[in-house]
Amino acid sequence: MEEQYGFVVAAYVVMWVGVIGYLVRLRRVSRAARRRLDEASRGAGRKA
Amino acid sequence: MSHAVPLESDSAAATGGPGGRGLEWFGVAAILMLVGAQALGLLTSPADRDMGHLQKIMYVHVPAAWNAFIAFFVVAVSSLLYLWKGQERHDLLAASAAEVGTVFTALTLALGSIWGRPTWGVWWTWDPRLTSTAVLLLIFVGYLSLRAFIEDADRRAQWSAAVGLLGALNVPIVYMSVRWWRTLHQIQSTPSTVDPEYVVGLRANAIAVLLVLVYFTMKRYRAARAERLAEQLEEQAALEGRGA
Repeated sequence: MEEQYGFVVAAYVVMWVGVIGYLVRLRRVSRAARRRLDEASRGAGRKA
Repeated sequence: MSHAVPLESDSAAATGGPGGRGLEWFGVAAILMLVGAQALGLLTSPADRDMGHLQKIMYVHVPAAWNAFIAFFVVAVSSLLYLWKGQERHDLLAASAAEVGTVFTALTLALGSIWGRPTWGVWWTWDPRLTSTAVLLLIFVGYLSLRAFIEDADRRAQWSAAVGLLGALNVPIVYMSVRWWRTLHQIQSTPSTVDPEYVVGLRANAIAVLLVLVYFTMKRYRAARAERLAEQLEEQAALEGRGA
């Protein structure tokens, strides 16, 4: 019985590691994209 | 020579803007719903006659698998639309859904492995369902690598659309593998094949993971749009610099 609980807990932990891990990655990617776009827009503005 | 219909230069939409906050609230609601659905499944479903409490792994494994399939369906439709209309937004949506689908496929395999160890006695076996799912994962890892290596936006979009379509064709094979071949894996878990006591928990978790999938895909799409707009501005600046 206890062994069964261990596998159930492990499954839910893996699910949340996946969800939270991808959320963190999304946050990083979004921030980097926004920064890159801001820099590119500023560069285009300077040229205009 | 560019043939694709480029994105409109709407940096507010790409980086967030007024709609960005709505998406974040949607994400918070999706995560809270996932917590609620998991609590419902864990606390209200009785132990299974054969599997005991291990049955509760179904509430994470099966929704992850279904939603990976939905993500790859979005990849297939968006890739077809890109090849037909040549609009970059379809390419970016396909890429965003492919990335999220890959995450859910990896989770499906990991969770299935954790479920397989106590029920089958092995972490992994070359069963048709497991093998076809692993092939699906490898195809989309290849898809994402392809996108990372091709610099020309048009070629990247065209090749990705072709690979995305081929990869999505594998989904019906994965789904039907448990009926077409003799497998260790049980037949598909759906509300019509599981015990009625588990249906509400399964549906609630499937909907919650679907909302998380929508949030992840939309958030990734916004970032992809911003990346592409920046790329276009950089290309334009390089061309003007060369012309000056």
